[in-house]
Amino acid sequence: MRHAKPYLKRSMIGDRSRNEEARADRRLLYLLLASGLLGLGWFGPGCASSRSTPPAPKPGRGIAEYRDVTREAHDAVAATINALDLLMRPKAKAMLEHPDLPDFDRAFYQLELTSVRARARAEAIIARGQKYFDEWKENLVGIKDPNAAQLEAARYTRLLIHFDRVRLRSSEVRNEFRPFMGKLRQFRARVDQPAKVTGDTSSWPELDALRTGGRRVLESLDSVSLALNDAETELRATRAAQ
Amino acid sequence: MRLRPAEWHRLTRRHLAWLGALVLYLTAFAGGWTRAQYLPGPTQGASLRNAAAATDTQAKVVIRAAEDWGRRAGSAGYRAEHFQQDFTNGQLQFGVLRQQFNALGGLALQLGRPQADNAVAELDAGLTTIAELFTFLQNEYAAGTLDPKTIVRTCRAYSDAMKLWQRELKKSGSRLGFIW
Repeated sequence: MRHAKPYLKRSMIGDRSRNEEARADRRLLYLLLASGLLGLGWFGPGCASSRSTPPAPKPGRGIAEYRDVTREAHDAVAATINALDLLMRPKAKAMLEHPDLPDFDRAFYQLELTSVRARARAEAIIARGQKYFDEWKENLVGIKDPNAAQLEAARYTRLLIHFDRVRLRSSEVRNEFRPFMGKLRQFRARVDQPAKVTGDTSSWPELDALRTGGRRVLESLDSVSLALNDAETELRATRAAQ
Repeated sequence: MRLRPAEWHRLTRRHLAWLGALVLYLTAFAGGWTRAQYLPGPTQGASLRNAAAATDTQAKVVIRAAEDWGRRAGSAGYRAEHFQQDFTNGQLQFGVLRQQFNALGGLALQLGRPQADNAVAELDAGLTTIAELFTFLQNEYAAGTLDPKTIVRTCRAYSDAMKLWQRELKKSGSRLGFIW
């Protein structure tokens, strides 16, 4: 983060003793971590935020916000899978006349809109997150006290592992979600042609494949949630150790 | 009624595919063939506000075009040639929006503020996600399986997703470094 360097200029620390300098460095790096890595860049106020002015970053708040985005996406995918379940009950000759099709349409439509916001947030994480860690790493070099440098490098490494895990799992969500959405769109387009998708059991394989794809998305979202829990635990431990 | 292109339309289909590819290339990589239009202000904040206002105006144009497209597709007698025209127009309007937003994003990134960077990244990713709907329509059309009902539904999702995006642009003013 670009405002990090002025914070870490040694001239700002002045003539403090070596220990005070180390403590100041730790505090500043912790602030970096809390406000930049986990607060602004990774889990900051974004598309879902309704605030008109940016609030002061608080440690861990961003994780909670990102968890909300994950939960929202999870709910939308789960609702779509439930709607697919209902379509598997043979109730009409053509799928277009299936009484549960309007429910599916509502769930699918909601998923389209939710995906715009949730995927934008996730891709912004991937685009921005690494830059914060790169700059934090550059700032580590500026710490003169070897003990403080070692401590902060260890914190950096631990949190980078968590960040990488969330990033990797977020990209897995994206990899699962994109084909799932594509197949849902294709399926719904085929439903518009009554001869192609019937309302009886012959459409089960296709519906089942869609449900399987949806469940894979849910699993990958669950895995992001677990990674977020771990990151939060690590953040709390870091805070407790300060 | 499916919008299966007739034999004599093959050349037009190929043209449409090329045009689609060209628009995607220009909007995504080459910086576009149209320059973003906004008035540079006396301060960076004023320029940002002008660029954001131009982006907002273009977003409204895109939304209105999507709604009109959906209405036309729902009317009787909507044919392949109408779709080609609407699709090309939709992509062009979306491309102009992308250009306007890229200009706004470029200005916001100059601030060097993480919040501005993140707002730009999120809004940019939002447009990329919305653009998938064009790919979907293009693929369905190329496969000869596109139905007007599908176009109507996709246009509704497109216009509503764009409204969502426009709201987020409005909300992002302070993150991008200006006040509306």
